[in-house]
Amino acid sequence: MRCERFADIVELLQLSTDREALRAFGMKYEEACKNPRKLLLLWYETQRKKYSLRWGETLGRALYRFSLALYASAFLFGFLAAMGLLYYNGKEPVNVIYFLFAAFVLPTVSLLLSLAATFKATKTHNPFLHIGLSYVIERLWFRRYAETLKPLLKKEKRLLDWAVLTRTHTAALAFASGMLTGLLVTVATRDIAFVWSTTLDIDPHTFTSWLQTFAAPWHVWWPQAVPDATLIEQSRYFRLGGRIDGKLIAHAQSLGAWWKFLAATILFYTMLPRLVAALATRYYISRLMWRSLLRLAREHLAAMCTPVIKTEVRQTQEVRTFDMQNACTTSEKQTDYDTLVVVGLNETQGALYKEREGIDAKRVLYVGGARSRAQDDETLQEVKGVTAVIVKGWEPPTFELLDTLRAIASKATRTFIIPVGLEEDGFAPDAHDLAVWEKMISTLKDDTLCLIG
Amino acid sequence: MSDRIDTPTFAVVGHPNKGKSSIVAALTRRDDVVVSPMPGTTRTHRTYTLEADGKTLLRLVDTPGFQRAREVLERLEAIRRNEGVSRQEAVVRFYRTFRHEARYADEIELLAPVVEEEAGIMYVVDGSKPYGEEFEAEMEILRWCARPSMAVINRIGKGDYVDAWREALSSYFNIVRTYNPVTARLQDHLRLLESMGHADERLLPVIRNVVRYFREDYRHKLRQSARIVTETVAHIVSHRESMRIASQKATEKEKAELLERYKQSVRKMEQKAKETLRTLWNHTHLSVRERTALSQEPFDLFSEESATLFGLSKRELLMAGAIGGAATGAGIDLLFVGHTLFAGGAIGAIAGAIGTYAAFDTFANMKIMGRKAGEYRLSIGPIKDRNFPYVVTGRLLFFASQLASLSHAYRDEVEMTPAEDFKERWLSGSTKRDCEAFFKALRDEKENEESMRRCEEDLYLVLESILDITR
Repeated sequence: MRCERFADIVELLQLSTDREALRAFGMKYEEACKNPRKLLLLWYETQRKKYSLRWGETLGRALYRFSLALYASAFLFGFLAAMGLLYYNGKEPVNVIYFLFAAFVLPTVSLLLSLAATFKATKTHNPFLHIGLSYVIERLWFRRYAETLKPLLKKEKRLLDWAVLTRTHTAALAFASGMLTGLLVTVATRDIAFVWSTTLDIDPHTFTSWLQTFAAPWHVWWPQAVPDATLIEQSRYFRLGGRIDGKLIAHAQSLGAWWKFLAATILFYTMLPRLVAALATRYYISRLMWRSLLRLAREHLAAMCTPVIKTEVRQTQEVRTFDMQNACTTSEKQTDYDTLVVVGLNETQGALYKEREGIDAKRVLYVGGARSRAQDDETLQEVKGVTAVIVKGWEPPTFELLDTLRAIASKATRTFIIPVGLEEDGFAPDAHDLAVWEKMISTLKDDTLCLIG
Repeated sequence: MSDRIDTPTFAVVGHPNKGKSSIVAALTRRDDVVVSPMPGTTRTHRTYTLEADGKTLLRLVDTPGFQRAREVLERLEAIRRNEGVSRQEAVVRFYRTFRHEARYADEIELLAPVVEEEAGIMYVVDGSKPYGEEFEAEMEILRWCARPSMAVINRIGKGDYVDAWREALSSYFNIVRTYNPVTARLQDHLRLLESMGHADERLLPVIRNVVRYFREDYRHKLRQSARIVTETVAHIVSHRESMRIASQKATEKEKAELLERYKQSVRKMEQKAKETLRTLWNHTHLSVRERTALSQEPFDLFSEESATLFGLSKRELLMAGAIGGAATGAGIDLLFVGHTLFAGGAIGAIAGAIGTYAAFDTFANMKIMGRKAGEYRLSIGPIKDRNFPYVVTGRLLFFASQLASLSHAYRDEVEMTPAEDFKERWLSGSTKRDCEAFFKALRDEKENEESMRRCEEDLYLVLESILDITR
């Protein structure tokens, strides 16, 4: 996984969010639901052409220029460092120990710092990275792309750190390459006298065994690059006297053999570890990028692999509106009526409510319930005078019941509708139910009808 | 049932105001189904299809209530008597003969799905009101339809007449279930759906598939809810607000202004999360009430004045200065071929750092092309209060659990402030440990991906247990 592709996929995640489209894709590649990486890549490959993605291109351009500048600078610096380390002014020969320090110790320390930074790559604050020159350059370099890359970096704050980490090893490799090139060019074009010189009390024999141990990685396939005891004996240098002594001059030709050792040192202790570190870091960072991507794409992947459940409705909802005029409502209860009509209740219930309402009527009629319409029509012929109608207050009036009320009103001089309640409500109707009755009765538009509530 | 056994269709029928539309709203999880207290509001039938990946799983038809059941039954009997046809055929003939008759408009609408789409029947009654003989005409009409059918006793009010209803309904329906669409939770919806499968055994495998889809979708939404909660907590807790200030030290007015901006941002983030949750659970029309807003909670904020030059902080510039100095010194070391023992690099680093530090303010106040090279900023946040992430999580978790458990037939205002004891319900055991690790990482501004994932998983399990989802 490269930074540019990472950026593209993150941008695509922002742009393509339609759940149904994602699910349609997931259904096409249902098998890939078991392998999120494969599914995400498939999705990216099929979808990217639909959108003009900018982030990957912008990041790629920025990283390309940054990398080029960094590698070129590192190579040049390594080359110049080699030239500087191998500078021979004719008076004092080149101390291989000094060169070894620059070609082995410093790069090894730098490598350890880089590895420490790599191990901290999961953190947003990486002190091992932030003290590096490449990090500082990166912060200044990427400022011009800040506007375009801001949304990307908001999604993954560590992205530039990862880009720098992968390039740090390559930059160090470029530095070592420059150093090796510098060494080879210098050796080929100038006459360098290599010696070893130190204040420490080390006899040549001991130094030989150290160096041979040091040269263990290449002593099998490049034995010429392993300094032997003779060479070491011949190239010991003491500054006392201030000039090159006769012994060194006598063996001038063989002293040049040190260059192979130095070249092998750069190859095996600077370049090779950096190459391995670079590959390992790329692999590790790629894994971190995948982890980050899978986290960012979690919802998309779930949308692809989870059925979309939704409801659709075919027809538009048509609601009935009621033409409700002001209904007649009164709380004053009469007690004497010419007729009492009980709707939908049996005789026992009718008698109970009649008594509770204190109604006295000359005739009591029962309609509704399981009775037929023909029976009701016949019964309603007896309605006359002022009529009270007991109805179930808890049941909203149907059009059929309104038909009955209309029939009653046509025969009575005045009709009073009395909605009653259930026992648990104290036999009184609910205020809400009363309001419904009031509205429904008003649709009859009959002034002789009045609700008692 | 429809000859298309793979797409069960049920017409929801009954007396006016018995909760038919509420049942449809609850089962189809739509809060836009019109539920009106006025009887006869629904004028036409309306088909709601439940789809999974574009494939119709189930159809529910909301119908108007019976308005003239006795009269219609008399018509049916007359047709049967006069034309010598079966009961079912009499229904069909009634439908075709009177389909444009305004008097029977409601009955025609409720019979339309039965006659035209061979829908099954779900007859809905109110178990909080007593059974009455006037309902027999309705049940008789439905029996004449000869479709797979079931009865649902919905308890709208506080009365209890369920037993009487059950006895009356069992004469007409093989399956009688109680169900309150307003208070029902997921398990109740699923039980009702499964009952529909028992109305016709050919439907059972199909209905079980529907139930499976429901569960999967529900779990998916719970996971998304847990993710929304943890991400919002992360955003709110780690939120920083900053503004440019005139000088190195911020005034009280500037501090107050920034604090107000901060609280607004926090409020907006929480609000956005809640809107996302509402959309997720399809409760966009729900009316909610909260006693306290998040930004009214007392919390400890960290504020800091800082300065930058060319976009780099003092610390970063110091490092750059040190490294630049070291590089220059190292060059000098190389020139002297090691005789300086790398003292050049060391001295260069120290000199570079001191120089950068000392000159910072001078350079910051310099103007380059009319603009100051540097700037002073006041920052507020992130919140260091240990209790705050728990407050945010609790509020959002409660909100999500309420939305997840609320039926779409619910139309009243909902109180969304968690009770005092809600914290004990969700904060225990591994949830406490994992979420504390996550909150600590947020407070310390450290990487929190793994801890966030664990906390999110725990919150998902908490939601499952609060909502009592059985596997």
